[in-house]
Amino acid sequence: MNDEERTEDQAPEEPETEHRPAEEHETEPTAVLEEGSKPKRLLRSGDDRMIAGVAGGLGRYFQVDPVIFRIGFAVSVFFGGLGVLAYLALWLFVPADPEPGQEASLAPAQRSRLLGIGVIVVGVIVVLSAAGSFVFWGDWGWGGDGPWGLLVLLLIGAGVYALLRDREPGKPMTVGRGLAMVGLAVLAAIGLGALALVSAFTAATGSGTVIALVVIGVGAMLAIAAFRGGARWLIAPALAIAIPLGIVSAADISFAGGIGERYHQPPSRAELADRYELGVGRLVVDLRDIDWSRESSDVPLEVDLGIGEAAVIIPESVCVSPDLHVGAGEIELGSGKTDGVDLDEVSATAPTAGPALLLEGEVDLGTLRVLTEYDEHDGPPFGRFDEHGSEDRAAVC
Amino acid sequence: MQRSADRRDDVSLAAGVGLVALGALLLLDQSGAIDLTLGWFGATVAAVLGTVLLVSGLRDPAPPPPPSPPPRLARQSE
Repeated sequence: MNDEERTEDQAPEEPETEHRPAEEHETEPTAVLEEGSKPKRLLRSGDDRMIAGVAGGLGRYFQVDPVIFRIGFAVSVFFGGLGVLAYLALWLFVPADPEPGQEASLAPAQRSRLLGIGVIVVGVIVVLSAAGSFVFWGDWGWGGDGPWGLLVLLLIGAGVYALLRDREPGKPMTVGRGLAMVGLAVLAAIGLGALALVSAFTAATGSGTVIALVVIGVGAMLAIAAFRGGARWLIAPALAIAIPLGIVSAADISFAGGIGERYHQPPSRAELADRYELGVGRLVVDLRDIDWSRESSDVPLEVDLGIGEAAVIIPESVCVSPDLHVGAGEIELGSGKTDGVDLDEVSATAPTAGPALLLEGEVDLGTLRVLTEYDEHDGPPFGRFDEHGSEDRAAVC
Repeated sequence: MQRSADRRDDVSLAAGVGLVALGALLLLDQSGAIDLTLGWFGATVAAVLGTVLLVSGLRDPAPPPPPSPPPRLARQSE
């Protein structure tokens, strides 16, 4: 067995010799070497690492080639991503190789990493809820309602700083370097987010072909650059424009109907359009002013919304024959409320005493609600659904 | 020739080919030739990312292993 094949738990215990070269590296952890009689410790490898040294540490622990673990983690991506979760868990809870002269326990670093990830998760949740508020209610808290933007940036920045500080154990990060790295990370995140928004918006307005051609062009550039040393930095921007395009295309999201709030209250059956459409925002079709007692036949209506909330308000005396679809979100109708992905609510028309509303509704991302009488008539009921809670869901025929 | 092979970055190559394939899929969907669903798109993105990670894990050279541990370290704590 030569020196390279020897593992830390098999280290010889012969005394130190004076012939040890001065330039010899002391990269193996002291704590591990001392514990020849103790059980082996699983540590993330500091010198054989692609991301966090998890596969390298597992390979060393089980004395097999770490590539096998790397392949396992990569293949697991195709099977629900359980291996990715396992990798993240090992990254979080398995300590890394200590630096020479440092104790094996890296509890402060572990805490720092956990804190960093936790803070970033909180920041992202705040961003997503603020973005949802912006998309659905038009109330963006970046300035008007308080310093939310600054708070979110501070949260994310603190998390990134905690993570970066842990990358070089024993080397405290200076304030200037930390701020520079946080600034770069925030700028990169903002840039990628802007690219993703532009891609999604362009695709939703009907120019997705251009974005698809850009993705192909960037891919070709990346492949060509591979023979000149590579250009891996292009991968993230390319994915930032490709993934939103795919999501928008797959979900059939379209902004063709415009953006904002639309309130339609036709006073009579003659004024009722066959179809109401909106790209992003809130779409309300209020059918209570129509004199349904004069209708002798069923009334067809089509409502199409890209992202946001669509609501159809009808009198209690009218029942609904629904053919509803929501790509992702929720449907409120009759006695039920369902949420999830690819929701359908279809009911065959049943013979009724009066006219029925043949409602065909489509919302790509958001909520589709069919309500009955609302107790206020003064103006559009924007924002009142949640405030009053007095609406009732319409009955299915 | 050997120099060209040395400079080739297989990760960039795999990512480039994957992106071209992904772009072609999106182009076909935009033109109406296929009807891309969220499930198929997610699987395609996962396949591209998995391939890039796989190539990265197989091709990137690992740093040379450290020399054997010096036995005197066991005595330092005494």
